[in-house]
Amino acid sequence: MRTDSPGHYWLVSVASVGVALGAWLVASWLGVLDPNRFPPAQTLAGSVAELVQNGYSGKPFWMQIGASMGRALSGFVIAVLVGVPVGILIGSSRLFDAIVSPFLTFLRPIPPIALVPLFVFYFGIGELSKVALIFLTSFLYMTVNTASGVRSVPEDLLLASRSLGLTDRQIFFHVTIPASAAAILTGMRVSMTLSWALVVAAELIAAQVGLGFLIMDATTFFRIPYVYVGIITIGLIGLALEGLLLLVERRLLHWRGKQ
Amino acid sequence: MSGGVALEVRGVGRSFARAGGGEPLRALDGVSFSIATSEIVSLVGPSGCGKSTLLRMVAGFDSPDEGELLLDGRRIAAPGQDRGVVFQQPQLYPWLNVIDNVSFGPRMRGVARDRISANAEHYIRAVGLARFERHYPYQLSGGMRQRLQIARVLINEPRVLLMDEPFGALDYQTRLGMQRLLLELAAEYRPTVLFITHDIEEAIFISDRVHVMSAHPGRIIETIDVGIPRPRVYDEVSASAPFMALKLKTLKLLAH
Repeated sequence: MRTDSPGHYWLVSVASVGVALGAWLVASWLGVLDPNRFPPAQTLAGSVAELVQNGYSGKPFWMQIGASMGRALSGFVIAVLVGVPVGILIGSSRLFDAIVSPFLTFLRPIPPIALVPLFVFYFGIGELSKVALIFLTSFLYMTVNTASGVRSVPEDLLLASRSLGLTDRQIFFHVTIPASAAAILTGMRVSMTLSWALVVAAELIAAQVGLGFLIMDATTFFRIPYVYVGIITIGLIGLALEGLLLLVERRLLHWRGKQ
Repeated sequence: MSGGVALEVRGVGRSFARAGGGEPLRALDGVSFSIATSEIVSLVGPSGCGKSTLLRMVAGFDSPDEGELLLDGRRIAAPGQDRGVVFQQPQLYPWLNVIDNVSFGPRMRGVARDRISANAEHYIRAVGLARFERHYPYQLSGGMRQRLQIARVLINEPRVLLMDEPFGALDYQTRLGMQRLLLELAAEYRPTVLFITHDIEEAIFISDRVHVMSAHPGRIIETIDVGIPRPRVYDEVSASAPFMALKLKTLKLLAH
C-alpha cells in the first residue's frame, strides 16, 4: 500500500487513538492515576454505572442527555429553517446583502458566551434564553454558508439554464438550490457542531438538567469522575451527530467536489 | 425547419466601460452578416475581437448598443431554447446523470415524459454516449462532457446552434474527434451553426463560411467561402491544396 492512500492514514488515526486508550488502561491497571484528577478506567466505569442507575440530581441520565440534545437541536433546527432562506436572499440580492450583512458580520466574531448575561436579561433563565443563544450562533453560520453557496453558482450555468427555456422560478428551485446544497450542508455540519458545543455554555444559565448542568454541578461538589463522564458523553454525541451529517452529505452529494 | 435566412446580424456595435475609466472599449463595430438555414458559419479572430460578445448577444445574454440581431426576422431580446448554447466549459448539472441532464430542458418545459425519454436516448446515442446514460458528469472525460452538452442542446431542436470555442479546452486528439462528430451531426440533422474559434484549421474544416475578425475595434475584415465539398474527411481535407490555400490566406489576414 502506498503511504499517501487515504486508507493508510485512517489506520494511523485508529492506531493513535488505540495507543492513547491503551496507555490510559495500563496506567489505570497500575493504580497510578488519582481518581479526583485524572480518573482511572474502573472509576469512570463505576461512575457511568451509577449515573445510568441513579441518574443525577434527581433526574435520570438519559434525561440529562435528552435535555441538552433538545436544546441544541431546537436551536439548530430553527437556525436552519430561518438561516437558509435568509442566506439565499443575501446571496441573490445585493441590496438585501448590503442591508443585513453589516449586522451579521459584526455579530459573528462575538463569543456567544459574552451574550449570556444579556440573553438572561431579555429571555429569562428558562429554556428560551438557551435555545435563543444556540439559535443565534447557528443562524450566523447558516447564513454565511448558504449565501456563499448561492453566490458560487456559476453565472454560465444560470445562462445555460435560461437557454434551455427555464423560467426564473424553475432556475431558482431546480438549479440555484441544488447547486448551493453542498455549501448549505457544510453550514449545517458546522452549525450542528457549534450548537452542540454551545449547550454547555447555554446551560451555565441556571439550568436544572442537562449535560452542561451536570458538569457544572459535579465540579461544584468535586465529583470529578462525573465531570469526565459528562465531557466524554458530549464528545461522543458530537462525533455521532457529525458522522450522521457526513453520511447524509455523502449520500446526497456524491457528485460534490468532483467537477 | 423553414428555409432561407435563419440569423441576421445588422450593423451591431457594442462598447464596454474600461475598469479604470476613460474611453470606453469598442468591442464590436458595425458587424453585419447572416446565416442561412443549415449553414455552418465560423467567426475567427484574436482574443478581444468581440467574437464571444457577439455570440452572447445572439444567445440573448447581452444586447447591442447599435444595430440589431434577428432570428427568423424577429428581434432577439432574451435567451430561449430556439438558440442552443454550447459553452467552452461544459455547463452541466453535476447532480444529474447523463440522461437526466439531456432530459432536463424538455422536462422543465412540460414535454410529455415518453417523448422526452425516446428523444433523450436518441440524442445520447447520436453523440456517442449510449453506454454512459447512468453516469454522472464527474465520471466523464472532458470530451464526453462536451458531447453531453451538445446532446442536451440538440434535444431542444434549436433554430441555431451557438458554439463558443467548444473544443478549445480539449487536447488535440479529442478535438479532432469532436470536429468529426460535429460534421456527422451536421450531415444528419442539418443544424444552423454559429461557431466561435481561434483555430483557423478548425474553422475551415467544419464551416461553409468563415468571417475573419480584427480586434480593437472588433470588425469583420474578410469573409471566406470555404467551398470544400462535404462529406469532409479530416485526413484528406487537411492535406488538400484548397485547404492549404485557405489556411494561408486566413493566416495572412490575421497577421495584419
